[in-house]
Amino acid sequence: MTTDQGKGSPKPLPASAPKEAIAPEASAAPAPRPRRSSSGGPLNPRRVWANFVLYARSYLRSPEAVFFTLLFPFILVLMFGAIFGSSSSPSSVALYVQNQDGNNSTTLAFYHYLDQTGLVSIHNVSANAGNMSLYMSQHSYSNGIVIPPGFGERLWNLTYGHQVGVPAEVHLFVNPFDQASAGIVEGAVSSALNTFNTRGLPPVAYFPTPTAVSSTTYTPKTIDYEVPGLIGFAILMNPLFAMVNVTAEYKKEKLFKALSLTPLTKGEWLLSLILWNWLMTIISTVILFVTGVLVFGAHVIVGPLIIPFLLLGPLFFAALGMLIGTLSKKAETAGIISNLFAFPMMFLSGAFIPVSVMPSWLQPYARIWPLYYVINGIQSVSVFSNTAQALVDLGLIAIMASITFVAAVFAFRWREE
Amino acid sequence: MDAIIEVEGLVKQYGPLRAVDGITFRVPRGQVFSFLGPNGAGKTTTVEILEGLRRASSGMVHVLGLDPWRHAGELHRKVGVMPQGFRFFDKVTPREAVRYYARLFGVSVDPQEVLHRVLLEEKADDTYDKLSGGQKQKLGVALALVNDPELLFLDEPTTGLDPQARRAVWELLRELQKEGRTIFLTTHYLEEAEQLADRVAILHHGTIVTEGSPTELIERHGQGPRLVLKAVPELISLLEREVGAGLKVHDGTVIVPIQQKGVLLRALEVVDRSGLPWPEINTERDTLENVFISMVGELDETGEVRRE
Ligand SMILES: Nc1ncnc2c1ncn2[C@@H]1O[C@H](COP(=O)(O)OP(=O)(O)OP(=O)(O)O)[C@@H](O)[C@H]1O
Ligand SMILES: [Mg+2]
Repeated sequence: MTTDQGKGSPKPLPASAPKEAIAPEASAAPAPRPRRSSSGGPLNPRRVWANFVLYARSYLRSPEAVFFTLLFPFILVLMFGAIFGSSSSPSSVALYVQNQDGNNSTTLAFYHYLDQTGLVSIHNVSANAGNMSLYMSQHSYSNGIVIPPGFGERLWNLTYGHQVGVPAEVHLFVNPFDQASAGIVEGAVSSALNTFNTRGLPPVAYFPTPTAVSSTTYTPKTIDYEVPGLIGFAILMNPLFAMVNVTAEYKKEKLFKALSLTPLTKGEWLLSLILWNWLMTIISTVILFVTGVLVFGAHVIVGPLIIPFLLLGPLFFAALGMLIGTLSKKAETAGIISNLFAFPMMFLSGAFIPVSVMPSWLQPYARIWPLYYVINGIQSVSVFSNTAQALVDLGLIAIMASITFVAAVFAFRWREE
Repeated sequence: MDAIIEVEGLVKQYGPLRAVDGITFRVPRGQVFSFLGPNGAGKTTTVEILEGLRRASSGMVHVLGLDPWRHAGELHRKVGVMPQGFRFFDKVTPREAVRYYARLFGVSVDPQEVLHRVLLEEKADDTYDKLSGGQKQKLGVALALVNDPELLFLDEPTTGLDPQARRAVWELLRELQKEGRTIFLTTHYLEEAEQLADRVAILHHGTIVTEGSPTELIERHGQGPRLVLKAVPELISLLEREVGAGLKVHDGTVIVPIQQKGVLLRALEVVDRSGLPWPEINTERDTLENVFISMVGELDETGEVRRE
């Protein structure tokens, strides 16, 4: 009848029950550590990593998320590349040859061998055309060689004569941002030179270091703008919507409440999500660059200054997403607000349509969107190699990111008061 | 006795509403203490104040000697919590969840062992969204156990479970108590409190209407054991004459209080001697449920007070 049976006096914890482990943290700092509230304290890398792994798992297991992060930008670049890019690739690479050596028979033989490789189509440039590098820049030619006076004679001597020591040089000009055709040209030239090599006595031809065509004189194509634009799109969309969803959904499902009951701090949680957004941004950037370059022959200058854009851009949009998610009462509201913000921004700040292509009355409105500075900055690096402009954009983004980030951290609450 | 939780004059104000209205209680170490009350009584509000998730408006709260709001971080290392309506990340498996908690707490546990305790081993590698309601709750309990806490807060751990799953959770809670852990359990299931709790506090409109062990509450607020029999009028008047004291008659049913054993024997003897017919005869005693209904009202399955 009574239900009190078996509930005598409390028993002490059995000796086997406590299984407190040697925490890495504890062994690193054996001294008793003062602990403040759950939101304070130093960042613990182990917990940041644990949360990163958990988030990554959740993320990678939802196919739609993977689609939007990785496949969608890829599809976009294919789409915009097909619209704007020059997809016709010639069967052989155009090679502009300036022969300053006249009709020397060995030189003509070299010409012949070069043509026989089938890798290049030779276009002659008049010997009176002046400085070859300048000439090529003016005509947007990527690959060229100059056969200097006396080349044929030196080559003959090296091959059939017994005079060793005076090298036979051709000057090679390639566009380092078009590695594919540069490689083809180099291959063709050395193979033509090697034809002589195999017949004669070693050593034979001296092969000079390629001279770069100055990148500033290259006229960018639309696809060159398009790739940074789509990177900007990835920098906007992934962090913004990831954080809006996470903040709104965690709030709705009371997951923050559950997390706040563990030693995980707000800062650790935030850091792990930002790390994740950085990783995703870098992956999408690589996909976009590689697709743009390989499929559409986009000219991309990969400078180290691109990296701060890939870090500060996502930081800004992640903080913005968190702010929107935190301040909206409902998940739906957060979704609507971020869409209202993201859609005009992606069209007006040059993610899809380069700002320079937009109607001139519309162009000033591009500058009101934070994304404009991200895209413009990446374009400054990857299209123009314009460090000064990139630094200005970077500074603006840094300011916006800091303000938003501080506001988001401030507004964001683990627990209710 | 050594109190693990001490609360005095706790108030939580939400605008005009006093969700918790000046409650005072102590939870002795090693006991199962149950907060029993209908929806909106203030159970979750109180528990979350004890867990350091909400801030008290006024009053004194000590859990393991700590102020939960100010020392939440320290407290969270020592207590296990299963929040009301526990939810976890959809695409994470119980095994990964336990490992995640272990990393956060900096303890090494065998996920298999923890999941075995809550009878969730077979589902260790299914993602959360594929688990049944009961399995989800079990994961909640499993996660509360990862840091081997001496004090557990379980906010309605069996709400929404089928009777079988509910019994399985009860079994687990008994085990945990046997290991010497203190359990703070909120529920609106009377049977749950009756089955598990050493002490029960009945909470209504933010105040504790009564508190004590289930037997104490029944003794204090119940009517005591009684003989109930349906009888013909002649037998009723015979009983009234012969047994007398405290006897109540209602609609052809006689209720004889039988606190003293002698009264029961005398009444039965009278019935036997009379040779008159008695369609039904029973002894009754109050349950926690009778007490609860008399103080708060009857609850439906969701914990809402039935209104009629
Ligand atoms: N954050 C809040 N803001 C305003 N009012 C609140 C808040 N949290 C709880 N309340 C109110 O306080 C009262 C007590 O709520 P509480 O959640 O503590 O009840 P409970 O006993 O846990 O009920 P249930 O059995 O439904 O879980 C309710 O009237 C509720 O509406
Ligand atoms: Mg509740």
